[in-house]
Amino acid sequence: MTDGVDALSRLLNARSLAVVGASNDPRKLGYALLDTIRRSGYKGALYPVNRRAEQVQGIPAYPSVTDVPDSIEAVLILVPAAYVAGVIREAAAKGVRAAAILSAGFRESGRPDLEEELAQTARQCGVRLLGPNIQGFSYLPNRLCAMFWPAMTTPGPMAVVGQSGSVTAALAEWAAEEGLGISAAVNLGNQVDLCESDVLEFLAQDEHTRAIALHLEALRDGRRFLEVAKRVNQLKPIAVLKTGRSAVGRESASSHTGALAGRDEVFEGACRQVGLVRADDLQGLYDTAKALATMRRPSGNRLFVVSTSGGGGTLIADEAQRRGLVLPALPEALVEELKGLDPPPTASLANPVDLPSFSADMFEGAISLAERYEVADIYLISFGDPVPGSVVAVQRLARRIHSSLGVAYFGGGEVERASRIDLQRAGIPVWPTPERAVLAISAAVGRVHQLPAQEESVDAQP
Amino acid sequence: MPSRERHMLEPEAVQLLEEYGIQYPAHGLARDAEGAAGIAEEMGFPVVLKLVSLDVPHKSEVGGVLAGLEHSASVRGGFSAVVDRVSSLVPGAQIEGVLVCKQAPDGLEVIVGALDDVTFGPSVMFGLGGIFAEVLRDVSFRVAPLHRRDAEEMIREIQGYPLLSGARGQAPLDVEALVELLLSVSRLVMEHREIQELDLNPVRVYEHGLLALDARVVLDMNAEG
Repeated sequence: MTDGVDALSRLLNARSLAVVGASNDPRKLGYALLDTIRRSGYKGALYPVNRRAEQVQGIPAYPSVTDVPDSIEAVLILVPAAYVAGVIREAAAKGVRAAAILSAGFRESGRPDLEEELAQTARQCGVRLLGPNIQGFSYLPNRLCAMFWPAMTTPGPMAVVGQSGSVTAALAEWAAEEGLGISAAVNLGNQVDLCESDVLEFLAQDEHTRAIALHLEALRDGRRFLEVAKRVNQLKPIAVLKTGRSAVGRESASSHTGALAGRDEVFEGACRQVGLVRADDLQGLYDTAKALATMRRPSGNRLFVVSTSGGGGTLIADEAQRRGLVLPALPEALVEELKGLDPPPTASLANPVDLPSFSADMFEGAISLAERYEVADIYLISFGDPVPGSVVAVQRLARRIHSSLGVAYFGGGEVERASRIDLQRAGIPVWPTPERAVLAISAAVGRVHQLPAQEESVDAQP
Repeated sequence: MPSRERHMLEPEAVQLLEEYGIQYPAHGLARDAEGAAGIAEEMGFPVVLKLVSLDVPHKSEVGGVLAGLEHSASVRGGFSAVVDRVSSLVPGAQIEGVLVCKQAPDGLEVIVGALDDVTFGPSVMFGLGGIFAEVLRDVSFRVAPLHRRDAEEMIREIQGYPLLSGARGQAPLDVEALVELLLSVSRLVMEHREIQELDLNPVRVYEHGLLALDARVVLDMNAEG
């Protein structure tokens, strides 16, 4: 049997792909799927399979997988649930070892029998399955978005893995819109075969992925997940959002322990045990995974803040205190050197440094100085106004310093909108509010504290 | 799969705990009032009486526990009172006897438990006793088997930890013994996968050592022994 990593590699890195159920009708998902693949810039061979059409979206089509004249590396299946097992058999006869089942209509629709038939067929034929009931997957290094939407063309350091199709697509879209980009997006769906642990194993060895945003509803094998997540988390930090019933409500708990182990408590303990960063909501998952994917791993919880606005600096300071970050006082010698930058007379040279200036160079200078005094583990710039030239200055700074660096940007209008994307394309994380910046940074710090000491040698920086 | 569960009799549960080095007060099972008095005289007063019956898993709710008995006469009277009370509240209950336990000194009460979680399998719980666990849900979990570091973290991460480490001028309690207890419970449930739920509630923690004062063990009769 093909192992999980190999099967996922065949799917994500497929050089030739059959799309069974591809359609010419723009109202159908079979249209959207092929259309997205084409718009994502896929360079491999594409074989639409459609029982009636000779061409689908201008590409020669075949009535069945068996009719495709060339060899096929992977198949995407989007035909009614009752026909899926038959397609798997045909694909197996063609030597295919990996398939993604986008069709719905299985267990989630009250047809566990069809799901069982699918699982059995795949096992017998030696075909590994992603899905069913998924929106698909994307792998940017292969310029392949095998999803209904969106067609993403911004490669980036974050991988997205989600049980829900909407959640997976939302995270991937945010990353694309913001310029952060993704390496991979994989929707898990019903997980009749390949599950979250297989995908984590794949991403662990994927050179394009630096961190993973993981959304889970149910775990099929909790112990395997812990074992895999612990190992993968050392290489590619994982932020996880768990929704829904996990420790399936114990209806008749006859002990205190049973009653206290609600839907979440054991999962929470398990995450702490293996050092996973937990997010409370979807936005937190995205913000945190962004920090893990872009920032150097903080070596402590000391935060240095320099802000264009006193209000922004105070918001950060308050939130930092709430989240367990410390804003250390600045040594006198540093304050003297900061004065040498010739800040405006209204500046406040205590941490958070209030620098009411539109000069990006002054921010660069302030942080360079502070880092030379090693006052903090994380350096956060808070732009609360349009600051022209910030992209160049912050990029220069990022190259120069060795600590973690992040940006909160808000209230900056057009300049902000353009700069935010450029900064993130350059690999510098930008959050749209002070609170979201601090939450993400504190999660990245918390992870360091949770990791077993002897396992801290892995540096997330490439 | 229908869940068939069975509560262990407390003397059985205690024997299991003792195999794993978990400290429980001196005790003996009495079949009659005279026997109870004899056991009490041998171990010394005060003692606690606890009804033992498979049909009465929640014994304290039906008056099946009597504490603070200071001499033989009250033990004899207590035996009959406990048996009569339970027999009238739970008609037909098959009573195995009464467990006579040496009453433990006062101490900080904590709760230690374990369960066979549907997702993660055997998992261990820790919390402070009373309202801390039950009302405030100030508890921590880890998946077994626990490493020492896991046990240390689950003790430290509860909000009420200062009560153990010595808040407001109190002497610090034996956290190391608690760590050992959590590790023992972890070993116990890993080696007895038929255990569905386990409660040690309360466990009294002292400056030196601790005592589990009650053991409730629920077995899953579907599980492979």
